[in-house]
Amino acid sequence: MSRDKAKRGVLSLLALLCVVVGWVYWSEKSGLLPSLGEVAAATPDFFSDPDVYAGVWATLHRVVISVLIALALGLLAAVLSKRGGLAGKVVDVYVSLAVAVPSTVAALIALFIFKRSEIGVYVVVTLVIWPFMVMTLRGGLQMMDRKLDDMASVYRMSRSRRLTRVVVPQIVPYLFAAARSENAHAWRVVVLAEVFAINSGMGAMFTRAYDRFLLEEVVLWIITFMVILLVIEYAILRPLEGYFMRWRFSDVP
Amino acid sequence: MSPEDVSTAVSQISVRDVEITYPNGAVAVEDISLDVRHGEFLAILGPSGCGKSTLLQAVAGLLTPSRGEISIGGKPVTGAKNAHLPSIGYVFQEHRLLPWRTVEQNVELVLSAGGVPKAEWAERTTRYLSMLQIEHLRKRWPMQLSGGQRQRASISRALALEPSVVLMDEPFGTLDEVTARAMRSELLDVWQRTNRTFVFVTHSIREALFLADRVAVFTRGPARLIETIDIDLPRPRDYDSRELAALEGQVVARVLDVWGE
Repeated sequence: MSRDKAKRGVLSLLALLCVVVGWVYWSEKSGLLPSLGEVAAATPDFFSDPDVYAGVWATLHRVVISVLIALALGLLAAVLSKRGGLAGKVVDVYVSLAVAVPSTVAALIALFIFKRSEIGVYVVVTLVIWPFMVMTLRGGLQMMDRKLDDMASVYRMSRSRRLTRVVVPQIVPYLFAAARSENAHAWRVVVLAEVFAINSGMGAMFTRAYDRFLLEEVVLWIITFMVILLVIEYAILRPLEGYFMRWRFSDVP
Repeated sequence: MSPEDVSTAVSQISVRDVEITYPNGAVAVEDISLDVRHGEFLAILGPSGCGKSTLLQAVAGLLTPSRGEISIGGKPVTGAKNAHLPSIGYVFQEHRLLPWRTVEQNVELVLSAGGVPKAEWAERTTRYLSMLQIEHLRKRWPMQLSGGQRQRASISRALALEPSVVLMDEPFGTLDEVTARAMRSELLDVWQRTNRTFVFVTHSIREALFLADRVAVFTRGPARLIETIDIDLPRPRDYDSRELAALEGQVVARVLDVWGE
């Protein structure tokens, strides 16, 4: 277990090193991409600017709300789909349609429909990530263990107790899988929507820096974006998942 | 309990003219009547897939018979509100513990659902986990336990409710033979200490004869009752004794025609 971990750590470092080497080489050759030193010099100013944090906060806010909305609607749709019937079939059709819409197109359509309103962002992001949520959660519902229902019946568990103690814990792993895989997706779509449609947030600030040819700032925005995604994945979602799934991962003490 | 006591004791489980059909219309259990006396250890013996588990599920109220009636302690097992149904301990072939709750929490959940006051949970959990010799594992997750330990936890859960009857559906079927033997002896010990009514479904003739006061022998599916055999062997019994082997031979000879292809 720990040897695997060490191996993975070394590989991650090597991958990072490759990117840095590529960056150094390219910035030397092209003269367009700012060098490591130039970016490092611009870093203190960048991170002492309160607007940067305001931008990050605006984007984070949009991502969290959109993911929560998509999770709730995704769960609802997954339950309907699992139940079958007319509603289930309708849901299945919408899922197939929504999967086929490219994120960029969705962002542009929302720009036309909602002009520059905040609601437009939520609609685009939800529309884009919702079908994937439905598919993951539907898979979870299909894996539910019917045998535990019999156990719950024999021991006369009430509906609410069955829901909280027997049903929900079986869906939790799939909620995490859906949230984890669609979190990164949601960030990309929110930033895209901000580029096209909104005047605030990381996407808007990135575009502004790009338009003014402030390439150090562009690079710093890219790095910030990657760091935020990694922090959310490794410092928040995975530990949380590990906590909720500790019954599955614990070794015999 | 001596045979005289058993014959005069009240019937704890009553199965009357029960027929059970599967949703596809096939008959699983055909016209079975059976009484289980209070405090008795009854084994239901039948070939694999004959419908004996289906009958047990009906006794637990998990299935509704298409005909006939089942009651426990005089109360019908289906159709009433939860509070009026008889309390039942059930040990499934697989443990069916909730893997996201510790052993202790699994027991407590059942006590809570069964309306046992919270003040009694700790004492009951300790008593029955100790009786099944897994008290030291109470904080473990089920996935950290061996197959035998999980089944011990499942039996503790069934007993902790202190139910009118304990129903067991081939609970040792998935265990290795050595573990299963140890568990059988301990189960008899627990049965005698708790003085409860046990119904134990199995396809193993020797297991049935070793455990039970009485063995109800079923046919191949659809299940019908061939006969009930009183097992007069004195307790404690020896799984390898000549008497048990001889009795097993007799039962095999009797069911050979009915169970054979």
